[in-house]
Amino acid sequence: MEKKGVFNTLIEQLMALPGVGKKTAERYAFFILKMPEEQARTIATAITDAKDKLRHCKICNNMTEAEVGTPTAVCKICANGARDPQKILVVEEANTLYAIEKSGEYKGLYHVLHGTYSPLSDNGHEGTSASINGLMERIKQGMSFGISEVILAVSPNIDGEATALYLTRMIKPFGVKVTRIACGIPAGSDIEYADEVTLIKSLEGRRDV
Amino acid sequence: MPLLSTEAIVLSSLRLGEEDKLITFFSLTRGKIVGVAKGARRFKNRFGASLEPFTHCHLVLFEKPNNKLARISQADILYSFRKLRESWEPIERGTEMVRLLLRITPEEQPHPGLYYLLKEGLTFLETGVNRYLSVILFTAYLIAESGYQPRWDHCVGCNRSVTETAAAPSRFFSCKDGGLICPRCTTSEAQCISISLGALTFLQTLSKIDFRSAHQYSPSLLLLREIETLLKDYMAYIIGCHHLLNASS
Repeated sequence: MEKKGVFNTLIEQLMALPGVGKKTAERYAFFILKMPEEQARTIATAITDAKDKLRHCKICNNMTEAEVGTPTAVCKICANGARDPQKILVVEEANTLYAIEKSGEYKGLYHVLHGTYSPLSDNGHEGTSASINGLMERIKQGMSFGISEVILAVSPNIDGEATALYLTRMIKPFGVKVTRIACGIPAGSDIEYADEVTLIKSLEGRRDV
Repeated sequence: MPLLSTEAIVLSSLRLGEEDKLITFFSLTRGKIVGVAKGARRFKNRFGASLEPFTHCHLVLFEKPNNKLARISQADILYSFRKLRESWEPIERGTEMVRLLLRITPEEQPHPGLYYLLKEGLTFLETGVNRYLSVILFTAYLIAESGYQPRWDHCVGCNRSVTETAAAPSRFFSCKDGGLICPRCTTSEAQCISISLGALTFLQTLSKIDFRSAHQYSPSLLLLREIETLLKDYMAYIIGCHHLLNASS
C-alpha cells in the first residue's frame, strides 16, 4: 500500500500524541483502517466533542463539560453540595485531582493550578499566576462561610517546594490553616532502598500510632 | 567514552515527555553536561531525590555516539543540600548562583575550580550566615574563575595606576574593557559605571584572597548593593558576548 495523502496525514497527526513515535503511529493508523467505520467515527466524534465541550471550571479550574458556545461552567465537584466547602485541596494538574478522587478518601473541594512556580525557569510563576489569583479570590470570598484548611498536594521536588512556600506566604495572612500532604516512603516498598532525603522527610513527618 | 562516572552537582531539572527528566549537571571531570533520566518522574523510580537541583551526587552516565544527550544510569547522593530547598531565601539565592553558572559556562569543558566554587557556595548558603554576601562573592569569584577577572589596580586604557585617593567621579569601571578606566581614557561617561572607594578596596581585597576567606568580611548593605549592581552589569556584558559568539559560530 502506498503511504501518502490521507493515510500519511493520519500517521502525522497520531504522532502528535505523547509517547507515540512513527512506528506506533503507523500501527494505530492500520488498526483504525481495519476497525468498523462506526467505531472510527465514534473516536473522531469523542475527540471533537472533548475539544468543543470541555472547559475549565470557573471556580476550581478542573475540567468540566459545558454547552457549545458557553464560555465557562462549574464542575460536578464544585456543584456538589455534599462536599465539605471548608477544605480546599490544591493540585498542580487535573490528572492529580482524578488520582485523589479515585482514592475516595477526600470529600472537600479542589483547586487546580495548571502548573507550578518554577524558580529556575525565566517565567517563574507566569503560567500559574491566573489560577493562583483565582485561589486567593476563593479564600477571600470563603472567609464568610469559613474555609478552615488549604491542603497543598504539590510534588516533593524543587518546583513543588517553591510553589508550596509561595502559596503559604500568600494564604497565611488570611488566618487559614495551610497543610501539605505527607512525603516519604511509598507504600509497598522496602525502606532499605530509600535515599537519604526520602528517609529524612519520612522521619520528619512521622506520626503517633 | 561510552560510560562516564563522575561526581557532579545538579543545576536544573526539567520535565521531558511523559515520565522522564532532562537534567543539567556541573561535573568535576566534564564540566556542564546534560543527561536524560528515563522514568525519573514515575512514582517508584530508582533515582529518588538524587536529581533534585543543588544535589551533590555521584553520577554514572552512558553516552551514545552521535547523540548529544547522555543517558543517566545511576545517581547516588553524596550530599543533598536539602535545607536549601526548604525555605524561600535559600531557594532564591541558590537559583541565582545556578543561573549565573549555567549562563557563563560552555558545555563539556571541565573546570574543577568552578566546580569547587559552586560546592563551597552552596555550603555557605546552607549554613546561612549572610546569604546575600555569599551570592555576591560567588558572582565575583565566578567571573574571575571564568577568565574575566577585571583589573582593579591600573587603568585598562593607559595602564597608569589608579590612585585610591582620586575623587569619586574619577573612578570608573568599564564593562567593555573589563577594568578600571581613568577619566582621560573614558570616551563617554555613560558607558562607564562610577565606583566608590569602599567598593574598589573591597574588590581589590577579593582578588588577593580565596572565596572562603572572603566570607570573614562583612561590608555594609549599601556597599554590597553597589558591588552587586556593578558585577551584574559586568556579568550581563560577558553573557551578552557569549551569546554573540555562540550565534556567530
